[in-house]
Amino acid sequence: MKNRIPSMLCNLSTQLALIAFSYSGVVQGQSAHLDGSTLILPVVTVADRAFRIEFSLEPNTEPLQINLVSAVELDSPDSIDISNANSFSGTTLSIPDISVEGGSFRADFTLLSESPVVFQLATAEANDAPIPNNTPIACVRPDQDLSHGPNNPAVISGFSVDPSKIQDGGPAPDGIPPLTNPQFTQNLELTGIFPDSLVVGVKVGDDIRAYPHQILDWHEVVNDTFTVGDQQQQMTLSYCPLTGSAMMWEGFSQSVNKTFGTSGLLLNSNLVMYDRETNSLWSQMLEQSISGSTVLNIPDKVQVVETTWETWQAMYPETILMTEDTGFSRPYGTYPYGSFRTDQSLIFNVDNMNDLRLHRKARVLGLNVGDSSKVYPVSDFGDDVSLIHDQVGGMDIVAAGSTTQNFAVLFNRQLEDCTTLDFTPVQNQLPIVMTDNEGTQWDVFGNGISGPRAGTKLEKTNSYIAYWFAWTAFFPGAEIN
Amino acid sequence: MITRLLTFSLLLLSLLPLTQTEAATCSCAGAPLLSSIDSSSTEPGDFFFNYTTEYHEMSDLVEGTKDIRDESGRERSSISQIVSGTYGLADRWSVSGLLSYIEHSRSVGTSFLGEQNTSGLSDAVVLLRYTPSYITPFSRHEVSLGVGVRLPVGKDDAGGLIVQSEDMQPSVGAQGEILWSSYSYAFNQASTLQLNLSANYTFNNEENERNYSFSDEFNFAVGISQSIGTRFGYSAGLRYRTTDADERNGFEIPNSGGEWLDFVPAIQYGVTDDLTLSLSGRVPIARDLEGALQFTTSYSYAFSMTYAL
Repeated sequence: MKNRIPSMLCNLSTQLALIAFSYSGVVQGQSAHLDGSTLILPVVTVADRAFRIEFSLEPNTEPLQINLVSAVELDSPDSIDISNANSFSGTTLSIPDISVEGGSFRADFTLLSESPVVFQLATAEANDAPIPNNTPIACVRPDQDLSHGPNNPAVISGFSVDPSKIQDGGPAPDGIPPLTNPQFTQNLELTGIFPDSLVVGVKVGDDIRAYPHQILDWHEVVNDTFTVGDQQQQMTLSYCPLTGSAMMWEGFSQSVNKTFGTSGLLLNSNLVMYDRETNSLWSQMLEQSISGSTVLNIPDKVQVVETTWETWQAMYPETILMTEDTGFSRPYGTYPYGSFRTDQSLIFNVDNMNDLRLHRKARVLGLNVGDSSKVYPVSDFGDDVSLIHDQVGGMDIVAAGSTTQNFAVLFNRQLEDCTTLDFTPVQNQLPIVMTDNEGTQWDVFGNGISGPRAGTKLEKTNSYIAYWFAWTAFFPGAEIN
Repeated sequence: MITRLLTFSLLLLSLLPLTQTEAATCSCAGAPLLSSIDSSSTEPGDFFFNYTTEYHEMSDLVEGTKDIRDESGRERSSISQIVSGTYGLADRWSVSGLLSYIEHSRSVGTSFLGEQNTSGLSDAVVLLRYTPSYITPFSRHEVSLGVGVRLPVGKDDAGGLIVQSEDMQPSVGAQGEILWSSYSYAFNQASTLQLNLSANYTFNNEENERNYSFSDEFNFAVGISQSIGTRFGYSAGLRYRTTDADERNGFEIPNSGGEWLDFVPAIQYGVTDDLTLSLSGRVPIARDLEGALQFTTSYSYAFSMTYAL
């Protein structure tokens, strides 16, 4: 058996791709080794716990199978060197360095059975073999923030934020009337929209829709229904004209009524909504429930693209556009807040209001990863589609945007298989905005359109566009690109 | 008899809500103040006590000069309770003081939430007046000039966990200074028919604790008043009001400020020689409001009781 292992490992080395795993907790500093028919892993960590594990080799199996013999949890896992890690992701056992007859090999085993615990060799190769570019043995992907809110906020008096910072904006709940199941058209003569008018674009299932700012300014919340497959899905698009931020949410976990209303309240001048199932309050820019029975819940989010009507049409000529036939009498051609969107004025006091590193109304694409926050001014992207490769909070990201075409989006450029892609911009092929070093072309929603990774999707990240004053009010100390 | 008629007709002047201090934005914070101060001249040692309650409906939605249909079913109103007194200090000099209490309410018909209310002690006014010329059987002209101050004695934070909007606060939360003037002309010796003019300007230079300042405000009113017999009287007039935009931290608040022209009718009944009851109203005639859209006055009416000591 001893003689069989290295040859087996070598033979299988090119048969399977390495299987990635997403656990961030990893690993060991002592090499795995064979002792007779026993595979000994002195340290294996899973998340923040560490174990000493022994397996027995199952004779006459092809691919090789190993059976769990013992697992002993180790004390003080924090003191263990994790520079060359063994890890168990829940499905894959990865052994970066196994000593067999003087040789060093790396191997991945896939969990076959939990009771009894049985693994099967998935891939293996000698450690002196070249490692494929951008394909690390193991990677630590930063946790994807699901909310921009604080990670462990105290809930005091039912609020996860200081309620004294919540202000009544004046109109009362639903005084700014939300829209429900709005009308859409492709007949632009009915809309009064201009090429440079800003819209919020969404692509859900087969539905491609644009929501003009000039209507959203007066309603702020649109409860809409989309067709995904043969299902009808309720989603809520919100836009806060005072902070220039747009989101689309698909209710929240377990919610039945996924519609929202305008509470009439503001947090840092930003829209606070209420859900119509529990009447709990939700901060739009924190993307989190801040009060009520759903406090600290986070919504299920859908990516939006804010851009001009002209650019959105170039991306998706088949799009439909929300019309002014809303059932409400509002002067849609008139911006409701005077010169607010261009001057330095604030209608409501906000936190950190003296951070004037950028113009208060500069539109920035902001990102939060853990405790790190960084913004990319939309005006800095340039006339053509341009890209920014960056790392924020340990996350490798790529931001794509164009000042002239007036859009900016941001994705995690490390894939689930731990491949970190490098991108180059693509011009004049909207909605395709970039191509990667493997030859895949990606659209503005992060969808792989053509190439080896066609059909896959880049991770959206916790990012959106907002006015600078609002971003720095919520996330003081944010870095500016 | 003549003296009583004069007193009665001068009291009638006070029915014209010639001046009103209120927020310029979509509705009002604080109570209507100056309109509740007795505008009649006061002999040295005389004291007039006035109690006024006013209902103010502010549910009209206006785009510039155009009324807009509001499908949200929004309703906004306030009820003010105001007590004031005027004392004749000396020949030609008098001082008035006023204290107010206000209840705000609002609701949106399409909302899950019912009516929302705030209430509390509102602002106070102290006004010193000089009247160089009185209407007497021998003079048909009366001129009165005044200076005053609006004092934020009430609450500018209605309380609760969440900070209310400025227009729902009981008090504007900042001091203001007032210049006040009035002129009356008696068409006959008994002074039963009068022309009345009034103008005032309120300076609002201070911010409240939320850095909000209501704009300066100018009011001008013209009207006639007539007494019928010794008990009944009426008045009718026009009131023009203009304000700039409110500000926060020195920046203008959108959708605040504008011009209003109202019709202001009133009737009065003297229950006794000392006690007078009156009913007045205010109906918009025209308005031209700043910004894209504002909620503003639909109408108001007030009941007032004046007692002369």
